Amino acid sequence: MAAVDDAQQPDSRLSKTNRERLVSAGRHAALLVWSFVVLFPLYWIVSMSLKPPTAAISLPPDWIFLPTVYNYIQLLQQSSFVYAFFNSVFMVSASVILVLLIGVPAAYVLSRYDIPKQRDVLVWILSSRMLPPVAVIIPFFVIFRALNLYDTRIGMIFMYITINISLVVWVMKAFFDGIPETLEEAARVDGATRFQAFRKVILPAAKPGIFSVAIISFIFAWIELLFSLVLTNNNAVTVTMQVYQFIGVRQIEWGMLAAATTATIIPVVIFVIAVNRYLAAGLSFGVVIKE
Amino acid sequence: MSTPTQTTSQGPSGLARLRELWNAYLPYWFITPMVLVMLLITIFPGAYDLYLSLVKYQLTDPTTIGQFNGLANYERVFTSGGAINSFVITITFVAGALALETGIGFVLAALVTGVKSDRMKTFYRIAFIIPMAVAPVSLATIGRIMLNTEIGIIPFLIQQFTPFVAPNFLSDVPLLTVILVDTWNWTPFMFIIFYAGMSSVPKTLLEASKVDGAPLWRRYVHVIIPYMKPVLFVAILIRLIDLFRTFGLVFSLTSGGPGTATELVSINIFQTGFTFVDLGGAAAIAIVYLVGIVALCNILIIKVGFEGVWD
Amino acid sequence: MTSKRNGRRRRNFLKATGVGLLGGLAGCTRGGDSSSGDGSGDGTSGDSGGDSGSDSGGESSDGGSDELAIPLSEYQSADIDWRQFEGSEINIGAVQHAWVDAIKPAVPVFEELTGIDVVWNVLPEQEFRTKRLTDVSTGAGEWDVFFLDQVVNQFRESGWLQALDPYFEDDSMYDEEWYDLDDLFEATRWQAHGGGYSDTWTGIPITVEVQTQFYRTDLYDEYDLEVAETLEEFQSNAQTIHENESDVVGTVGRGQQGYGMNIYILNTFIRQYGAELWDSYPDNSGLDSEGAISAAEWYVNLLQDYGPEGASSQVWSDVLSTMQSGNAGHIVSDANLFWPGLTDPESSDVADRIAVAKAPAPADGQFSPNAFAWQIATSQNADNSEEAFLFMLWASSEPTNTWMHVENGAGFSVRQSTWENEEYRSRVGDNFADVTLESLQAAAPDPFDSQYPEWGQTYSEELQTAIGGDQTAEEAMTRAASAAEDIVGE
Repeated sequence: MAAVDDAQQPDSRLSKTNRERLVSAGRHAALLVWSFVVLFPLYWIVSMSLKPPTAAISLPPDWIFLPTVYNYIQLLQQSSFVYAFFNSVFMVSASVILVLLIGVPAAYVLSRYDIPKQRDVLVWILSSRMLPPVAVIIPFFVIFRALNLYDTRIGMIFMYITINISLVVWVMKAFFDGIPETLEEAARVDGATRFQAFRKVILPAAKPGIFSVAIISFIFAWIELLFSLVLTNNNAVTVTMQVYQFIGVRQIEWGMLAAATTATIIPVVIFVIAVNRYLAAGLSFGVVIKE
Repeated sequence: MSTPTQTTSQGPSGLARLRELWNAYLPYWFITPMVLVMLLITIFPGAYDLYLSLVKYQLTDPTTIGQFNGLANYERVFTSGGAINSFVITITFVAGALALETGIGFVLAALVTGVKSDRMKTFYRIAFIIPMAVAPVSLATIGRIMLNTEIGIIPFLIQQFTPFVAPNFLSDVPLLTVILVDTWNWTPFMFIIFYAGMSSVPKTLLEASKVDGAPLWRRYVHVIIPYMKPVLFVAILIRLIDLFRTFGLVFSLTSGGPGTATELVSINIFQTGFTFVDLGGAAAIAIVYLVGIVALCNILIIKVGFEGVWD
Repeated sequence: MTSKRNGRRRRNFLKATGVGLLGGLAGCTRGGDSSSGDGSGDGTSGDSGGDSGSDSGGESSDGGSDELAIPLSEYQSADIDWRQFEGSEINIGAVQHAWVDAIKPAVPVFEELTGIDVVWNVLPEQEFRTKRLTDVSTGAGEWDVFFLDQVVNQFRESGWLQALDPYFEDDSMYDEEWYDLDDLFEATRWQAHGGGYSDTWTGIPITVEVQTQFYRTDLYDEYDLEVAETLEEFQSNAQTIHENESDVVGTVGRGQQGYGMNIYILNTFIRQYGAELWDSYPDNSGLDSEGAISAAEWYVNLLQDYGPEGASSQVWSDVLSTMQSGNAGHIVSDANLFWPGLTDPESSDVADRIAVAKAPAPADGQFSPNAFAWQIATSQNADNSEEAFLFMLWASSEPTNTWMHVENGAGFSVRQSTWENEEYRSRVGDNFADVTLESLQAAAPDPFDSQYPEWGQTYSEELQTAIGGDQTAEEAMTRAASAAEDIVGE
C-alpha cells in the first residue's frame, strides 16, 4: 500500500511518515482547539458548582480553589429535585424507546416502498416540528386537560414522542437510503422473510444512525422546557423545571443553578458512553455497492 | 420493490397465518403507528391556530372574543407590529447559525473519523456531544454572566490572553452573540449525525478510493459526500427547521433586544400572545410563518431532495 | 455469524424495557388517582427552599406531631369560621420569591387551622407568567391562588379575576378588627385595587419592595463622599468613583428591555421630575412630556458616562452581581430587596461595605420612589376561590406576617407595624428599616393600565436603544409616547 502511495506521488518532498505525522498533528491541533471551546464553558459551569457563591462571580477567577460539594449535598437533600430527576429519566427513556419503535419501521417503509404522495407525507411529518412551541402550547394544554393527560407521565411520554417522531423518521430514512437494497434482496433469496431481512440485515447496518437518533431524541426530550412547564404540575414534573427554581425573583443562586445544570448533564454523558461503541460500527462487512 | 406482494406459502396453523399476514403487510404495520401519532399531533394544533387567527381573540376585550374577523388579525400584525422585522432577523440568524454549525460539524466529524487512537476518538466523540445536553435556559442564564463585560469570564480571558478587545457581546453585537452561543450549543447535533453518516460509508468504498491514490479532499468530494448525501441533507433540513423556531436560548439571553435586534419570529409570537394577550394576532403570525416554512421545505425537498439527493 | 447473538440480546433488552414500561404506566395511573388526596409526599415540586433543609414542613398535613410555628390561638381569636372548608385543597401558583421560602414552614399552621391542604407550584418569573396565562385564559383554573403583578388590569379586564369584596363582606370569612386593614401600606392597598383602576379588590398584597440606592461605604470614606439626595449629587459621586477607580464603575442600573425591567427604574425618576405615565389616559401619554424626557436624559447619560460597559443589556441580576462582586460603586435605584443578597458574606464580596439610602431625586422635584407589591389573587375559574381567600387572609395577617419577618428572614412586609417592630428592626438593622419605611411612605407605585404590558414593552425597547447609544433619550421617549397612544387608542 505504501509503495502504491509513494509511486503515485514521486515528487513529494515529505516522506510518507512525515506527511502522516504532520496531518495527524494538524488534526489533533484542530480538535484540541474545538475541545477547548466546548469544554471551557462546561468547566466553568462545573467549577461554579464547586465554589462558594462569592467566588463563582469574582474576577480574576480563582483558578485553583478548594472544591466544596456543599451545593450537591443541598441538591440531593431536596426531595423534589431527586424526584423530578428520576421522573425525567424514566419518562425520557420510555419515550426514546417508544419513538424508536414507532419511527424506525416507518422510516424503513418510507425509504423502501413507493408511498402515494410520498413528498406530501414527508413534509407533513416534518411539519410537526415547524411551529415554535410557544404557538402550540395552548392547544396542547387544552387537549391534555380534555383527555386527562395533564400532569401525567403518560402525557409527557406522549409529548416527548411528538417532539422526536419527525426527527427519527427523517434521519432514519436517510440512513436506510444509504443501505443498498441488494442487501435485503440477498437475504430474501436466502429464504428470510421480509421482517427477518429487516431485523437481521438492515437494522444492524443502520446501527450508527439508530443510536445517533437515540442520543439526540434523548437530549431533545431531556432539555425540553415549555411543554413540561405548561403540561405538568407536581406529579409528572420534569428535571428542567427543577433546575430553574434557583433563578429567583431577587436572587439567583449561582452555585445551585450550576450544580443542578451539571447534574442534568450527567445522564446524557452516561447514555453517550453506553452507546458510544455503536456510533462507529457501520457496514463492516463486504457489500455490493449500488453505484 | 413497490407494493407488498403476497407470499404464496399456505400456512395452516393460526400462528403461521398470523406471521404470514405480518410479513405480507409489513409496510402497513410499520407505518401505521407513526401515521396515528402524526394525526394526533398535527391536526388539532394546526386547526386551532388557524381558527384563532381568523377570529377576534384579544383577551383584554372579552366581549368580542370569538367574533369572525376575516383577515384583520393578519393585517394588524403585519402592518403595525414588528412581525416583518422579526422575519428578517430570523432569516439572518438561521443563515448564520446554520452555516457555522454545518461547516464546523462536518469538519469535526471528518477529523474525528480519521483519529487513529480509539481512546482519543471516544474522548472527542463524547466531548463534542455534551454541549447539546446543557438546557438552553441554564446555558443562557449562566452564559449571560459569563459574557458580562464587567464581571464575565469570557471578556476577561479575551482581554488577558489575546490582543483583541472584547466587544460588549449582548449590547453591541447581539445577533452575532446569539448565533455563536447557538453554534456552541447545537453544533453537536450536526456532528453526531454527520459522524454516524461517515461511519456508514462502506469501508470497501474508502479503500477503493485509497488505492486510486486520490488526495484527501477528492475522496470527500467524490466518494464520501456523495454517499452521505441523504444524511447531510436531512441533518441540514432538520436543523434549519429547528433554528427557525429557536426560542428559549435567545429569549433568555437577550429578550429579543437591544431594541428588536434579536427579536426572532418565535419571540414575536410569544410577546404578542403571552405578553400582549392577543392570541388572534399571535396565531396569525404563526400561520404565516408555517405557510412560509412549509413552502421553503417543499422547495428544498423537491429541488435538492428529489432532484439531487434521492436521484 | 454474530447476528444471532445480537438478536437474542436485543430481545432481552426489549423484554426488560417492556417490564419497565408497564411499571411506569401503572405508576401513572396511581399518580393520577392520588392527586386529589393528601399532597403525595415527594411528588410536590414546590418544596424547594434551597437555603434551608426545611422543605419537609410545607406539605405533610398528617403531622400534628411537629410543633407548629405559630400558635393556633393567634388566629382563633378572630371572628372567622376557619374550618368551614375543611377537607378541601388549594393549589398555589407562585414565583420563586423569598416570600415562598419564608412562609412555607408556617403553612402547616394554616393546614391545621383550616383543614385545607396546600399544594405549591413554584416557578421562575418568566415561566410563571407563561403558565399563569395559559391556565387562566383557557378557563382551566388549576391554580386557586396565584401571584399577580403588572398584568393585574389586563387580567381584570379580561374578566378572569375574582373580586374579593364579597368575601370581605362575608362575616364568616373576615374580621376587620382582627385583621386591621389599615396596617397595610396605602400604596399596597392601592395596587391591590388594580393600581387605582378598580373599585374592587383584585388581590391581597403580600410583599412590597421600594426602590432605594445602594453605595459602597469604603469608597465613600476613601473619596470623602456624602450620600446623595439629589440627582446632581449622585452623578458627581458616581463620577468620582468611576474616574478614580480602575476596576469599579460609578454605578450600575438596569438597561434591559421588558415591562418590569429598565422602565421600572426610570419610572421612579419620571415621577420625581413631576411627570406622569399618562397626562390623560388614554389619549395623551406623558412619556414625551418635559419631565419624562429630562428623567430619561439623566438616566441614559448616567449609565453611558458612569455605568458599566454594555449597560443596555443588564438585567436586575447583572446589577446585583456586579455590585456583589465589588465592581460597582452604586446601584442608582433598585429594589430594596437586594439588601439581604448584598450584605450576606456568602454571596457578596463586599458584604460589610455596603449601605442603603433613599433613591436620589431632582433638586426641585419630589421624593417619590417606585414601589411594587406582589399580590395574590384568585380567578373566576378556580374551583376553590373561597378557600383561597382564607389563605390570603391568613398569609397576610399580622401573626403570620410578623412571624415571617421576625423569625424567618423575610424583609418585605406590607404591614407598617412590622417596620416599627423592634425585634425586626434589630434583625435587619435600623439603616435598612428606616430607609425602607420612609421610602414606602413616600412611594407611589406605577399605575398599570390593562395595556401596560404592550406599550411598556415598546417603551422599554426604545429606552434600551437609547442607553445603547443608538438614539437620543428624547427620540426614544417621543417614540415611546406615540406607540403608547397608538396601542391604547386602538
